[in-house]
Amino acid sequence: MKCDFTALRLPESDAEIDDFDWKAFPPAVASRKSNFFLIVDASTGLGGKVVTWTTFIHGQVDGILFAEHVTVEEGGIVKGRVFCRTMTVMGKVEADVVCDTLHVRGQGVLSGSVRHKSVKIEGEGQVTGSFACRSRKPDGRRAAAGR
Amino acid sequence: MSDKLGDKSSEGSLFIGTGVTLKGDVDVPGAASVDGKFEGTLKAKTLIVGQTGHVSGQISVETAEIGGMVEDHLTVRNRLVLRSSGSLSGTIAYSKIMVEEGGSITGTVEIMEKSASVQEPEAKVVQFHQSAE
Repeated sequence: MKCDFTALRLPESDAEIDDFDWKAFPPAVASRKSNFFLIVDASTGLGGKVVTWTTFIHGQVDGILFAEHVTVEEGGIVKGRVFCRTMTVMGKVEADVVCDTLHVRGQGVLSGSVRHKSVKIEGEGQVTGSFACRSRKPDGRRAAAGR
Repeated sequence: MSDKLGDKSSEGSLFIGTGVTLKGDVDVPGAASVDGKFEGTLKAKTLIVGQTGHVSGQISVETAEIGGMVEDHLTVRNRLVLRSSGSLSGTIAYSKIMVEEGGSITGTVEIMEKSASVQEPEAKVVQFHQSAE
């Protein structure tokens, strides 16, 4: 094992979320040389904590999803908690989501609480629940935080 | 924006220009276009909020296109469009929604009952399975 993924915990506070460094996220580091990704196919259900860099979900994930890029494909289902940088929803999500950018497309349905920086909804996309727009750090401050 | 408003002029429209503040209860049969500030209760067929517009209070419309700021309670019985410069906060109810990247949503978002009729065919399928057994 290249990293103790079980020790990775979701950032909780706004400060932890804002300061989270995706460049140091272990799956992202491991993916620098190869573009690793996880496909949860339509016949697969996962429960517990899923830690990955990029994932495409056609099946179902219940629990905690911790990934930099998440795509819930048409027919895919995610329930629980999601922490990611980008999330695209074309399937169904019932979760508490913390992300930078959220994109609901096609027949995508999202319900739960969402903390986002940027949201885009198109097509027949539907959203319900509580939405909170996280403040965008000025680039200078972000760069300083990353040092 | 004035062009859009002009299209609806025959229905009786309201235009609140930049720098103008209007407070109170307003019922507009056609389009309400806000580039200034509105506070209160607004019922209209169409709400258009320009980039400089600021609307707060109880808002109930058929369709809305938001390029400015809307606060408190917004009910859109048909289509809600949030432009990239737009900001929504408070309680939002809609039937259809489109949000451009950059649009900001803060608060509680609900889908209006129209979605319940969409689920109706699913209930019929369940009944079919029960009778088949």
